[in-house]
Amino acid sequence: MQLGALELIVDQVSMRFDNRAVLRSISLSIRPGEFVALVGPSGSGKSTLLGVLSGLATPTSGTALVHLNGKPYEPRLFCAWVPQGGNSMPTRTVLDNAALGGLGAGMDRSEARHAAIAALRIVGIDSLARKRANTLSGGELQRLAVARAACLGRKFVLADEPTGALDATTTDRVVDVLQALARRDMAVIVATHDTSVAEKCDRVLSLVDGALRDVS
Amino acid sequence: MPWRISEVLAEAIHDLLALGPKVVTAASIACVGAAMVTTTPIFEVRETLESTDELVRQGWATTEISAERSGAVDSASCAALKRIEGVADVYGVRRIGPQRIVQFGGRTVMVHEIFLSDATMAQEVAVGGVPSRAKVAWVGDDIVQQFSGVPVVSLAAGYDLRVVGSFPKEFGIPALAGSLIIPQPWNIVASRIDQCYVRAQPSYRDEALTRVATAALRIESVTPIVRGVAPGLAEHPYRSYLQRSSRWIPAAVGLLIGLMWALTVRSRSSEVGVLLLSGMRRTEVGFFFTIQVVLLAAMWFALVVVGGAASSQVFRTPFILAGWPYLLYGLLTMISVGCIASIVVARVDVSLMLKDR
Repeated sequence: MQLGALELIVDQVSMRFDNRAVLRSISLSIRPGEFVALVGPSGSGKSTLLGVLSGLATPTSGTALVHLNGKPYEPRLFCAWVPQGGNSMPTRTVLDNAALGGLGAGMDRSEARHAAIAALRIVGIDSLARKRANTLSGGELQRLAVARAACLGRKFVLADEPTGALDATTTDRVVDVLQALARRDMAVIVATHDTSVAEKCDRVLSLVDGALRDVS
Repeated sequence: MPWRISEVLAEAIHDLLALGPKVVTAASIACVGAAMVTTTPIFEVRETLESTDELVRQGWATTEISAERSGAVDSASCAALKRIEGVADVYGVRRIGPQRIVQFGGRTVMVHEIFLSDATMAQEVAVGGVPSRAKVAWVGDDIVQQFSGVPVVSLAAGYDLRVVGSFPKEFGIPALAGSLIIPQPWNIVASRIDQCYVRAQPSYRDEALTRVATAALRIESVTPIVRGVAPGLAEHPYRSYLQRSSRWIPAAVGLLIGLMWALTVRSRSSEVGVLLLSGMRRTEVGFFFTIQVVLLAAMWFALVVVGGAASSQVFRTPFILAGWPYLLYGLLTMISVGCIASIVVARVDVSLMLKDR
Protein backbone atom coordinates (compact mmCIF):
# COMPACT_ATOMS: atom_id res chain seq x y z
CA MET A 1 0.00 0.00 0.00
CA GLN A 2 1.49 3.35 -1.03
CA LEU A 3 1.02 6.08 1.50
CA GLY A 4 1.63 9.77 1.09
CA ALA A 5 3.70 11.90 3.45
CA LEU A 6 3.56 10.30 6.90
CA GLU A 7 4.72 11.74 10.17
CA LEU A 8 4.17 10.79 13.79
CA ILE A 9 3.88 14.08 15.66
CA VAL A 10 3.89 14.32 19.43
CA ASP A 11 2.87 17.75 20.69
CA GLN A 12 3.36 18.84 24.30
CA VAL A 13 2.47 15.46 25.76
CA SER A 14 2.38 15.19 29.54
CA MET A 15 1.32 12.24 31.62
CA ARG A 16 0.77 11.85 35.32
CA PHE A 17 0.28 8.73 37.42
CA ASP A 18 -0.90 9.23 41.00
CA ASN A 19 0.08 12.90 40.97
CA ARG A 20 3.56 11.96 39.75
CA ALA A 21 4.67 13.44 36.44
CA VAL A 22 5.88 10.59 34.24
CA LEU A 23 6.14 12.57 30.99
CA ARG A 24 6.68 16.34 30.89
CA SER A 25 5.75 18.41 27.84
CA ILE A 26 7.26 16.12 25.27
CA SER A 27 7.29 17.12 21.63
CA LEU A 28 8.87 15.25 18.75
CA SER A 29 8.26 14.02 15.25
CA ILE A 30 9.31 10.80 13.55
CA ARG A 31 9.16 9.85 9.87
CA PRO A 32 9.29 6.44 8.15
CA GLY A 33 12.83 5.28 7.50
CA GLU A 34 14.14 6.54 10.83
CA PHE A 35 15.74 4.20 13.35
CA VAL A 36 15.26 5.87 16.70
CA ALA A 37 16.53 4.86 20.14
CA LEU A 38 14.68 5.98 23.23
CA VAL A 39 17.12 5.66 26.09
CA GLY A 40 16.92 6.31 29.78
CA PRO A 41 17.16 4.55 33.12
CA SER A 42 14.47 2.16 34.37
CA GLY A 43 11.35 4.03 35.40
CA SER A 44 12.18 7.09 33.29
CA GLY A 45 8.96 6.72 31.27
CA LYS A 46 10.21 4.97 28.10
CA SER A 47 7.41 2.37 27.98
CA THR A 48 4.83 5.01 28.84
CA LEU A 49 6.01 7.21 25.97
CA LEU A 50 5.89 4.22 23.61
CA GLY A 51 2.35 3.56 24.84
CA VAL A 52 1.40 7.14 23.99
CA LEU A 53 3.10 6.93 20.58
CA SER A 54 1.18 3.77 19.76
CA GLY A 55 -2.14 5.13 20.96
CA LEU A 56 -2.49 2.42 23.61
CA ALA A 57 -2.13 5.01 26.38
CA THR A 58 -3.92 8.34 26.53
CA PRO A 59 -1.83 11.31 27.68
CA THR A 60 -3.00 13.60 30.45
CA SER A 61 -2.44 16.54 28.12
CA GLY A 62 -1.12 17.05 24.61
CA THR A 63 -1.58 14.93 21.50
CA ALA A 64 0.18 12.13 19.68
CA LEU A 65 -1.16 11.72 16.16
CA VAL A 66 -0.03 10.35 12.85
CA HIS A 67 -0.34 12.91 10.08
CA LEU A 68 -0.97 11.53 6.63
CA ASN A 69 -0.86 14.18 3.91
CA GLY A 70 -1.53 16.78 6.57
CA LYS A 71 -4.57 15.01 8.04
CA PRO A 72 -4.31 13.66 11.61
CA TYR A 73 -5.17 10.02 12.43
CA GLU A 74 -5.18 7.81 15.51
CA PRO A 75 -1.66 6.38 15.82
CA ARG A 76 -2.79 2.82 16.62
CA LEU A 77 -3.84 2.39 12.99
CA PHE A 78 -0.26 2.93 11.88
CA CYS A 79 1.74 1.39 14.71
CA ALA A 80 2.95 -2.15 15.39
CA TRP A 81 4.31 -3.11 18.79
CA VAL A 82 7.15 -5.46 19.60
CA PRO A 83 6.55 -6.28 23.27
CA GLN A 84 9.18 -6.78 25.89
CA GLY A 85 9.96 -10.50 26.03
CA GLY A 86 8.43 -11.12 22.61
CA ASN A 87 5.05 -12.46 23.72
CA SER A 88 3.62 -15.19 21.53
CA MET A 89 0.88 -17.76 21.30
CA PRO A 90 2.94 -20.55 22.87
CA THR A 91 1.07 -23.58 21.55
CA ARG A 92 1.07 -22.31 17.97
CA THR A 93 3.81 -22.73 15.42
CA VAL A 94 6.21 -19.94 14.61
CA LEU A 95 4.60 -19.59 11.20
CA ASP A 96 1.11 -19.30 12.73
CA ASN A 97 2.34 -16.66 15.14
CA ALA A 98 3.93 -14.58 12.42
CA ALA A 99 0.87 -14.98 10.19
CA LEU A 100 -1.30 -13.31 12.84
CA GLY A 101 0.21 -10.02 11.72
CA GLY A 102 -0.84 -10.62 8.13
CA LEU A 103 -4.36 -11.62 9.17
CA GLY A 104 -4.54 -8.40 11.17
CA ALA A 105 -3.52 -6.53 8.05
CA GLY A 106 -6.61 -7.92 6.30
CA MET A 107 -4.87 -10.60 4.26
CA ASP A 108 -6.50 -13.96 3.70
CA ARG A 109 -4.90 -17.01 5.28
CA SER A 110 -2.79 -17.97 2.29
CA GLU A 111 -1.47 -14.43 1.77
CA ALA A 112 -0.76 -14.09 5.47
CA ARG A 113 1.29 -17.28 5.48
CA HIS A 114 3.30 -16.17 2.48
CA ALA A 115 3.97 -12.80 4.11
CA ALA A 116 4.91 -14.58 7.34
CA ILE A 117 7.43 -16.81 5.57
CA ALA A 118 9.01 -13.74 3.97
CA ALA A 119 9.14 -11.94 7.32
CA LEU A 120 10.63 -14.96 9.07
CA ARG A 121 13.29 -15.06 6.38
CA ILE A 122 14.13 -11.41 7.04
CA VAL A 123 14.53 -12.02 10.77
CA GLY A 124 16.44 -15.25 10.11
CA ILE A 125 14.20 -17.82 11.75
CA ASP A 126 12.43 -19.23 8.70
CA SER A 127 14.00 -22.63 9.43
CA LEU A 128 11.98 -22.72 12.68
CA ALA A 129 8.65 -22.06 10.98
CA ARG A 130 7.15 -25.44 11.91
CA LYS A 131 8.31 -25.37 15.52
CA ARG A 132 6.02 -24.40 18.37
CA ALA A 133 6.64 -20.98 19.82
CA ASN A 134 7.12 -22.39 23.30
CA THR A 135 10.24 -24.19 22.13
CA LEU A 136 12.00 -20.99 21.03
CA SER A 137 14.79 -19.24 22.90
CA GLY A 138 14.44 -15.64 24.13
CA GLY A 139 16.22 -14.21 21.11
CA GLU A 140 14.18 -16.27 18.67
CA LEU A 141 10.97 -15.18 20.38
CA GLN A 142 12.03 -11.57 20.09
CA ARG A 143 12.71 -12.00 16.40
CA LEU A 144 9.37 -13.72 15.98
CA ALA A 145 7.70 -10.67 17.55
CA VAL A 146 9.52 -8.46 15.07
CA ALA A 147 8.40 -10.69 12.18
CA ARG A 148 4.79 -10.48 13.39
CA ALA A 149 5.02 -6.72 13.61
CA ALA A 150 6.55 -6.57 10.13
CA CYS A 151 3.69 -8.68 8.72
CA LEU A 152 1.20 -6.26 10.16
CA GLY A 153 2.44 -3.79 7.56
CA ARG A 154 2.29 -0.74 9.81
CA LYS A 155 4.66 2.12 9.11
CA PHE A 156 5.74 2.67 12.71
CA VAL A 157 7.27 -0.20 14.70
CA LEU A 158 7.62 0.38 18.44
CA ALA A 159 9.89 -2.03 20.29
CA ASP A 160 9.94 -2.05 24.07
CA GLU A 161 13.28 -3.30 25.40
CA PRO A 162 13.59 -5.86 22.60
CA THR A 163 17.06 -6.89 23.74
CA GLY A 164 16.49 -6.65 27.47
CA ALA A 165 17.27 -10.27 28.29
CA LEU A 166 19.50 -11.23 25.40
CA ASP A 167 23.20 -11.93 25.11
CA ALA A 168 25.46 -9.73 22.99
CA THR A 169 25.33 -11.91 19.86
CA THR A 170 21.56 -12.25 19.90
CA THR A 171 21.20 -8.56 20.66
CA ASP A 172 23.17 -7.76 17.52
CA ARG A 173 20.94 -10.03 15.45
CA VAL A 174 17.72 -8.47 16.74
CA VAL A 175 19.05 -4.95 16.21
CA ASP A 176 20.12 -5.86 12.68
CA VAL A 177 16.60 -7.05 11.98
CA LEU A 178 15.09 -3.83 13.30
CA GLN A 179 17.57 -1.85 11.26
CA ALA A 180 16.52 -3.84 8.19
CA LEU A 181 12.91 -2.85 8.81
CA ALA A 182 13.92 0.82 8.99
CA ARG A 183 15.60 0.42 5.62
CA ARG A 184 12.30 -0.85 4.26
CA ASP A 185 10.82 2.58 4.84
CA MET A 186 9.42 1.92 8.29
CA ALA A 187 10.08 4.02 11.34
CA VAL A 188 11.51 1.89 14.14
CA ILE A 189 11.50 3.30 17.66
CA VAL A 190 13.36 1.21 20.22
CA ALA A 191 13.10 1.79 23.96
CA THR A 192 16.33 0.54 25.49
CA HIS A 193 18.84 1.14 28.23
CA ASP A 194 21.53 -0.71 26.29
CA THR A 195 24.01 1.83 24.90
CA SER A 196 25.29 -0.62 22.28
CA VAL A 197 21.79 -0.70 20.78
CA ALA A 198 21.49 3.08 20.88
CA GLU A 199 24.80 3.47 19.07
CA LYS A 200 23.42 1.67 16.04
CA CYS A 201 20.41 3.95 15.75
CA ASP A 202 20.20 7.02 13.51
CA ARG A 203 18.79 9.12 16.28
CA VAL A 204 18.87 8.88 20.05
CA LEU A 205 16.28 10.42 22.34
CA SER A 206 17.11 10.53 26.00
CA LEU A 207 14.38 10.49 28.58
CA VAL A 208 15.32 11.66 32.06
CA ASP A 209 12.69 12.21 34.72
CA GLY A 210 10.01 12.41 32.06
CA ALA A 211 11.74 15.11 30.02
CA LEU A 212 12.99 14.36 26.52
CA ARG A 213 16.33 15.41 25.05
CA ASP A 214 17.51 14.72 21.52
CA VAL A 215 21.14 13.66 21.89
CA SER A 216 21.76 12.23 18.43
CA MET B 1 -7.91 -2.70 8.85
CA PRO B 2 -10.04 -4.98 11.06
CA TRP B 3 -9.87 -8.74 11.14
CA ARG B 4 -12.20 -10.75 8.97
CA ILE B 5 -14.78 -12.55 11.11
CA SER B 6 -14.16 -15.77 9.20
CA GLU B 7 -10.48 -15.50 10.05
CA VAL B 8 -11.23 -14.90 13.73
CA LEU B 9 -13.36 -18.05 13.67
CA ALA B 10 -10.74 -20.04 11.82
CA GLU B 11 -7.99 -18.82 14.14
CA ALA B 12 -10.03 -19.74 17.22
CA ILE B 13 -10.52 -23.29 15.94
CA HIS B 14 -6.89 -23.51 14.87
CA ASP B 15 -5.77 -22.31 18.28
CA LEU B 16 -8.02 -24.79 20.07
CA LEU B 17 -6.68 -27.63 17.97
CA ALA B 18 -3.15 -26.51 18.83
CA LEU B 19 -4.04 -27.12 22.47
CA GLY B 20 -5.00 -30.65 21.34
CA PRO B 21 -3.89 -33.27 23.83
CA LYS B 22 -4.65 -31.24 26.97
CA VAL B 23 -8.16 -30.43 25.86
CA VAL B 24 -8.93 -33.98 24.79
CA THR B 25 -7.57 -35.40 28.05
CA ALA B 26 -9.59 -32.98 30.18
CA ALA B 27 -12.71 -33.58 28.12
CA SER B 28 -12.25 -37.35 28.30
CA ILE B 29 -12.01 -37.28 32.08
CA ALA B 30 -15.13 -35.15 32.27
CA CYS B 31 -16.79 -37.51 29.80
CA VAL B 32 -16.14 -40.61 31.86
CA GLY B 33 -17.45 -38.89 35.00
CA ALA B 34 -20.56 -37.61 33.34
CA ALA B 35 -21.20 -40.91 31.55
CA MET B 36 -21.11 -42.74 34.85
CA VAL B 37 -23.45 -40.23 36.40
CA THR B 38 -25.94 -40.51 33.60
CA THR B 39 -26.02 -44.28 33.80
CA THR B 40 -25.88 -44.58 37.57
CA PRO B 41 -29.62 -44.29 38.28
CA ILE B 42 -30.15 -47.57 36.46
CA PHE B 43 -28.18 -49.43 39.06
CA GLU B 44 -30.11 -47.68 41.77
CA VAL B 45 -33.38 -48.71 40.23
CA ARG B 46 -32.26 -52.30 40.02
CA GLU B 47 -31.73 -52.24 43.71
CA THR B 48 -35.08 -50.65 44.30
CA LEU B 49 -36.93 -53.10 42.16
CA GLU B 50 -35.75 -55.98 44.27
CA SER B 51 -38.21 -54.89 46.87
CA THR B 52 -41.65 -53.81 45.88
CA ASP B 53 -42.37 -52.85 49.44
CA GLU B 54 -39.51 -50.43 49.21
CA LEU B 55 -41.04 -48.98 46.09
CA VAL B 56 -44.28 -48.41 47.82
CA ARG B 57 -42.65 -46.87 50.83
CA GLN B 58 -40.83 -44.47 48.63
CA GLY B 59 -43.87 -43.63 46.62
CA TRP B 60 -44.55 -44.53 43.06
CA ALA B 61 -45.62 -42.65 40.01
CA THR B 62 -46.09 -39.44 41.89
CA THR B 63 -44.24 -37.94 39.01
CA GLU B 64 -44.24 -39.44 35.60
CA ILE B 65 -41.91 -38.04 33.00
CA SER B 66 -43.25 -38.48 29.55
CA ALA B 67 -40.18 -39.06 27.48
CA GLU B 68 -40.69 -41.18 24.46
CA ARG B 69 -37.38 -42.29 23.23
CA SER B 70 -36.12 -41.74 19.78
CA GLY B 71 -32.89 -41.59 17.88
CA ALA B 72 -29.97 -43.88 17.53
CA VAL B 73 -28.34 -42.97 20.81
CA ASP B 74 -30.20 -45.63 22.64
CA SER B 75 -28.70 -48.54 20.80
CA ALA B 76 -28.50 -50.74 23.88
CA SER B 77 -32.13 -50.21 24.56
CA CYS B 78 -33.03 -50.85 20.94
CA ALA B 79 -31.15 -54.11 21.02
CA ALA B 80 -32.94 -55.14 24.17
CA LEU B 81 -36.25 -54.20 22.64
CA LYS B 82 -35.59 -56.37 19.62
CA ARG B 83 -34.89 -59.28 21.85
CA ILE B 84 -38.18 -58.76 23.62
CA GLU B 85 -39.91 -58.50 20.29
CA GLY B 86 -38.41 -61.82 19.33
CA VAL B 87 -39.80 -63.34 22.45
CA ALA B 88 -43.04 -61.51 21.93
CA ASP B 89 -43.60 -63.19 18.59
CA VAL B 90 -43.46 -66.52 20.31
CA TYR B 91 -45.38 -65.72 23.43
CA GLY B 92 -48.17 -63.60 22.18
CA VAL B 93 -47.27 -60.02 22.81
CA ARG B 94 -49.05 -58.16 20.09
CA ARG B 95 -47.13 -54.93 20.21
CA ILE B 96 -44.68 -53.20 22.42
CA GLY B 97 -45.51 -49.60 22.99
CA PRO B 98 -43.13 -46.71 23.24
CA GLN B 99 -40.61 -46.73 25.97
CA ARG B 100 -41.08 -44.23 28.73
CA ILE B 101 -39.05 -42.96 31.58
CA VAL B 102 -40.84 -43.14 34.87
CA GLN B 103 -39.77 -41.78 38.19
CA PHE B 104 -40.06 -44.15 41.10
CA GLY B 105 -39.86 -41.91 44.10
CA GLY B 106 -37.01 -39.87 42.76
CA ARG B 107 -35.44 -42.78 40.95
CA THR B 108 -35.72 -43.59 37.33
CA VAL B 109 -36.82 -46.66 35.47
CA MET B 110 -37.74 -47.40 31.90
CA VAL B 111 -41.15 -48.73 31.22
CA HIS B 112 -42.59 -50.33 28.13
CA GLU B 113 -46.24 -50.67 27.57
CA ILE B 114 -46.98 -54.10 26.23
CA PHE B 115 -50.09 -54.91 24.30
CA LEU B 116 -50.93 -58.55 24.58
CA SER B 117 -52.11 -60.59 21.64
CA ASP B 118 -55.76 -61.36 21.23
CA ALA B 119 -55.21 -64.97 22.18
CA THR B 120 -53.43 -64.00 25.34
CA MET B 121 -56.07 -61.46 26.15
CA ALA B 122 -58.73 -64.09 25.71
CA GLN B 123 -56.87 -66.29 28.08
CA GLU B 124 -56.55 -63.45 30.55
CA VAL B 125 -60.21 -62.74 30.42
CA ALA B 126 -60.89 -66.40 30.92
CA VAL B 127 -58.83 -66.56 34.05
CA GLY B 128 -60.21 -63.25 35.13
CA GLY B 129 -58.91 -59.86 35.79
CA VAL B 130 -55.73 -59.20 33.94
CA PRO B 131 -55.58 -55.79 32.34
CA SER B 132 -55.33 -55.91 28.59
CA ARG B 133 -52.35 -53.65 28.80
CA ALA B 134 -49.46 -53.93 31.11
CA LYS B 135 -46.51 -51.80 31.71
CA VAL B 136 -43.44 -53.90 32.07
CA ALA B 137 -40.47 -52.48 33.78
CA TRP B 138 -37.08 -53.99 33.51
CA VAL B 139 -33.56 -53.06 34.22
CA GLY B 140 -30.86 -53.68 31.72
CA ASP B 141 -30.27 -56.96 29.97
CA ASP B 142 -30.39 -58.99 33.15
CA ILE B 143 -34.12 -59.09 33.32
CA VAL B 144 -34.41 -59.29 29.59
CA GLN B 145 -32.45 -62.49 29.88
CA GLN B 146 -34.94 -63.79 32.37
CA PHE B 147 -37.68 -62.68 30.08
CA SER B 148 -36.23 -64.82 27.33
CA GLY B 149 -37.44 -68.36 27.11
CA VAL B 150 -40.22 -67.89 29.62
CA PRO B 151 -43.85 -67.68 28.59
CA VAL B 152 -45.42 -64.31 29.08
CA VAL B 153 -48.11 -65.63 31.35
CA SER B 154 -45.54 -67.33 33.47
CA LEU B 155 -43.58 -64.18 33.59
CA ALA B 156 -46.57 -62.34 34.78
CA ALA B 157 -46.96 -64.99 37.40
CA GLY B 158 -43.65 -64.23 38.91
CA TYR B 159 -39.99 -64.72 38.37
CA ASP B 160 -38.07 -61.60 38.82
CA LEU B 161 -40.05 -59.35 36.61
CA ARG B 162 -42.30 -56.79 38.17
CA VAL B 163 -45.48 -56.12 36.33
CA VAL B 164 -46.98 -52.73 36.71
CA GLY B 165 -50.56 -52.64 35.66
CA SER B 166 -52.30 -49.52 34.54
CA PHE B 167 -56.01 -49.19 34.75
CA PRO B 168 -57.65 -50.43 31.58
CA LYS B 169 -59.82 -47.94 29.76
CA GLU B 170 -62.95 -49.93 30.24
CA PHE B 171 -62.96 -49.03 33.90
CA GLY B 172 -63.25 -45.42 33.01
CA ILE B 173 -60.39 -44.38 35.21
CA PRO B 174 -58.28 -41.52 33.93
CA ALA B 175 -54.83 -42.72 33.08
CA LEU B 176 -53.18 -40.45 35.57
CA ALA B 177 -55.54 -41.29 38.36
CA GLY B 178 -53.32 -43.99 39.73
CA SER B 179 -51.49 -47.15 39.02
CA LEU B 180 -51.16 -50.57 40.48
CA ILE B 181 -48.02 -52.24 41.48
CA ILE B 182 -48.60 -55.90 41.64
CA PRO B 183 -45.81 -57.76 43.31
CA GLN B 184 -44.89 -61.34 42.83
CA PRO B 185 -46.06 -63.95 43.33
CA TRP B 186 -48.91 -63.08 41.07
CA ASN B 187 -50.51 -66.23 39.89
CA ILE B 188 -52.71 -65.39 36.98
CA VAL B 189 -53.81 -68.90 36.32
CA ALA B 190 -55.13 -69.28 39.81
CA SER B 191 -56.45 -65.74 39.78
CA ARG B 192 -55.00 -65.18 43.16
CA ILE B 193 -53.24 -62.06 44.20
CA ASP B 194 -51.42 -62.17 47.46
CA GLN B 195 -50.91 -58.52 47.85
CA CYS B 196 -51.78 -55.46 45.90
CA TYR B 197 -50.42 -52.00 46.23
CA VAL B 198 -52.24 -49.02 44.95
CA ARG B 199 -50.54 -45.79 44.33
CA ALA B 200 -52.69 -42.87 43.45
CA GLN B 201 -52.77 -39.15 43.53
CA PRO B 202 -53.28 -37.77 47.02
CA SER B 203 -56.77 -36.58 46.19
CA TYR B 204 -58.01 -40.15 45.92
CA ARG B 205 -59.60 -41.39 49.07
CA ASP B 206 -59.16 -44.90 50.35
CA GLU B 207 -62.68 -45.96 49.46
CA ALA B 208 -62.19 -44.86 45.89
CA LEU B 209 -58.91 -46.68 45.67
CA THR B 210 -60.44 -49.80 47.07
CA ARG B 211 -63.23 -49.57 44.55
CA VAL B 212 -60.77 -49.10 41.73
CA ALA B 213 -58.59 -51.96 42.81
CA THR B 214 -61.40 -54.40 43.21
CA ALA B 215 -62.84 -53.38 39.87
CA ALA B 216 -59.54 -53.58 38.09
CA LEU B 217 -58.62 -56.94 39.49
CA ARG B 218 -62.12 -58.27 39.76
CA ILE B 219 -61.63 -59.45 43.26
CA GLU B 220 -63.91 -59.39 46.24
CA SER B 221 -61.92 -57.29 48.61
CA VAL B 222 -58.56 -55.85 49.33
CA THR B 223 -56.56 -55.49 52.49
CA PRO B 224 -56.62 -52.06 54.09
CA ILE B 225 -54.79 -49.57 52.01
CA VAL B 226 -51.58 -48.21 53.41
CA ARG B 227 -50.57 -44.95 51.87
CA GLY B 228 -46.97 -44.58 50.83
CA VAL B 229 -44.91 -41.75 52.15
CA ALA B 230 -43.55 -38.98 50.03
CA PRO B 231 -40.42 -39.80 48.05
CA GLY B 232 -38.40 -37.19 49.89
CA LEU B 233 -39.16 -38.93 53.18
CA ALA B 234 -37.93 -42.31 52.11
CA GLU B 235 -36.49 -44.67 54.61
CA HIS B 236 -32.92 -43.80 53.73
CA PRO B 237 -32.84 -40.05 53.55
CA TYR B 238 -29.07 -39.89 53.36
CA ARG B 239 -28.93 -42.23 50.38
CA SER B 240 -31.85 -40.49 48.80
CA TYR B 241 -30.07 -37.18 49.27
CA LEU B 242 -26.94 -38.53 47.62
CA GLN B 243 -28.92 -39.89 44.72
CA ARG B 244 -30.63 -36.59 44.17
CA SER B 245 -27.38 -34.71 44.50
CA SER B 246 -25.63 -36.96 42.02
CA ARG B 247 -27.91 -35.74 39.30
CA TRP B 248 -26.32 -32.35 39.54
CA ILE B 249 -22.86 -33.74 39.00
CA PRO B 250 -22.96 -32.92 35.25
CA ALA B 251 -23.74 -29.33 36.18
CA ALA B 252 -20.96 -29.38 38.75
CA VAL B 253 -18.59 -30.81 36.15
CA GLY B 254 -19.74 -28.13 33.72
CA LEU B 255 -19.09 -25.46 36.35
CA LEU B 256 -15.68 -26.93 37.05
CA ILE B 257 -14.72 -26.97 33.39
CA GLY B 258 -16.11 -23.46 32.97
CA LEU B 259 -14.06 -22.20 35.89
CA MET B 260 -10.99 -23.99 34.61
CA TRP B 261 -11.56 -22.29 31.31
CA ALA B 262 -11.91 -18.95 33.08
CA LEU B 263 -8.57 -19.47 34.82
CA THR B 264 -6.97 -20.66 31.60
CA VAL B 265 -8.15 -17.66 29.65
CA ARG B 266 -7.09 -15.29 32.43
CA SER B 267 -3.62 -16.80 32.50
CA ARG B 268 -3.41 -16.39 28.74
CA SER B 269 -3.48 -12.62 29.05
CA SER B 270 -0.17 -12.27 27.22
CA GLU B 271 -1.80 -14.11 24.32
CA VAL B 272 -4.67 -11.67 24.49
CA GLY B 273 -2.03 -8.99 24.20
CA VAL B 274 -0.58 -10.69 21.13
CA LEU B 275 -4.01 -10.83 19.52
CA LEU B 276 -4.62 -7.17 20.27
CA LEU B 277 -1.19 -6.29 18.88
CA SER B 278 -2.09 -8.29 15.79
CA GLY B 279 -4.89 -5.89 15.10
CA MET B 280 -7.82 -7.65 16.78
CA ARG B 281 -10.35 -5.46 18.51
CA ARG B 282 -11.43 -6.31 22.02
CA THR B 283 -14.81 -7.58 20.83
CA GLU B 284 -13.03 -9.85 18.39
CA VAL B 285 -10.77 -11.17 21.14
CA GLY B 286 -13.88 -11.91 23.23
CA PHE B 287 -15.42 -13.63 20.21
CA PHE B 288 -12.20 -15.60 19.69
CA PHE B 289 -12.32 -17.12 23.18
CA THR B 290 -16.11 -17.51 23.20
CA ILE B 291 -15.89 -19.64 20.06
CA GLN B 292 -13.32 -21.78 21.79
CA VAL B 293 -15.40 -22.36 24.91
CA VAL B 294 -18.49 -23.20 22.85
CA LEU B 295 -16.49 -25.68 20.79
CA LEU B 296 -14.99 -27.12 23.94
CA ALA B 297 -18.46 -27.51 25.46
CA ALA B 298 -19.75 -29.15 22.28
CA MET B 299 -16.82 -31.54 22.35
CA TRP B 300 -17.50 -32.35 26.01
CA PHE B 301 -21.17 -32.92 25.31
CA ALA B 302 -20.46 -35.17 22.33
CA LEU B 303 -17.97 -37.19 24.32
CA VAL B 304 -20.43 -37.61 27.18
CA VAL B 305 -23.11 -38.83 24.80
CA VAL B 306 -20.77 -41.22 23.03
CA GLY B 307 -19.23 -42.29 26.35
CA GLY B 308 -22.66 -42.81 27.87
CA ALA B 309 -23.80 -44.91 24.93
CA ALA B 310 -20.58 -46.91 25.01
CA SER B 311 -20.76 -47.49 28.75
CA SER B 312 -24.36 -48.58 28.38
CA GLN B 313 -23.07 -51.30 26.06
CA VAL B 314 -20.28 -52.29 28.39
CA PHE B 315 -22.38 -52.33 31.54
CA ARG B 316 -25.49 -53.58 29.75
CA THR B 317 -27.53 -50.72 31.02
CA PRO B 318 -29.73 -48.55 28.86
CA PHE B 319 -28.43 -45.01 28.45
CA ILE B 320 -31.29 -43.21 30.06
CA LEU B 321 -32.78 -40.01 28.89
CA ALA B 322 -33.58 -38.83 32.37
CA GLY B 323 -30.00 -37.69 32.90
CA TRP B 324 -30.07 -35.42 29.87
CA PRO B 325 -31.64 -32.35 31.41
CA TYR B 326 -28.88 -32.39 33.99
CA LEU B 327 -26.32 -32.89 31.27
CA LEU B 328 -27.74 -29.87 29.47
CA TYR B 329 -27.57 -27.84 32.67
CA GLY B 330 -23.91 -28.77 32.81
CA LEU B 331 -23.40 -27.78 29.20
CA LEU B 332 -25.10 -24.43 29.67
CA THR B 333 -23.24 -23.78 32.91
CA MET B 334 -19.94 -24.44 31.20
CA ILE B 335 -20.73 -22.20 28.24
CA SER B 336 -22.05 -19.41 30.48
CA VAL B 337 -19.06 -19.37 32.81
CA GLY B 338 -16.64 -19.71 29.90
CA CYS B 339 -18.29 -16.92 27.90
CA ILE B 340 -18.25 -14.57 30.86
CA ALA B 341 -14.56 -15.33 31.33
CA SER B 342 -13.92 -14.75 27.65
CA ILE B 343 -15.67 -11.40 27.67
CA VAL B 344 -14.03 -10.27 30.91
CA VAL B 345 -10.55 -11.16 29.73
CA ALA B 346 -11.01 -9.13 26.58
CA ARG B 347 -11.40 -6.06 28.79
CA VAL B 348 -8.12 -6.44 30.62
CA ASP B 349 -5.84 -3.42 30.40
CA VAL B 350 -3.62 -3.99 27.40
CA SER B 351 -0.62 -2.40 29.09
CA LEU B 352 -0.66 -5.29 31.59
CA MET B 353 -0.53 -7.78 28.77
CA LEU B 354 2.43 -6.22 27.06
CA LYS B 355 4.74 -6.96 29.92
CA ASP B 356 6.68 -10.19 29.82
CA ARG B 357 5.10 -12.82 32.04
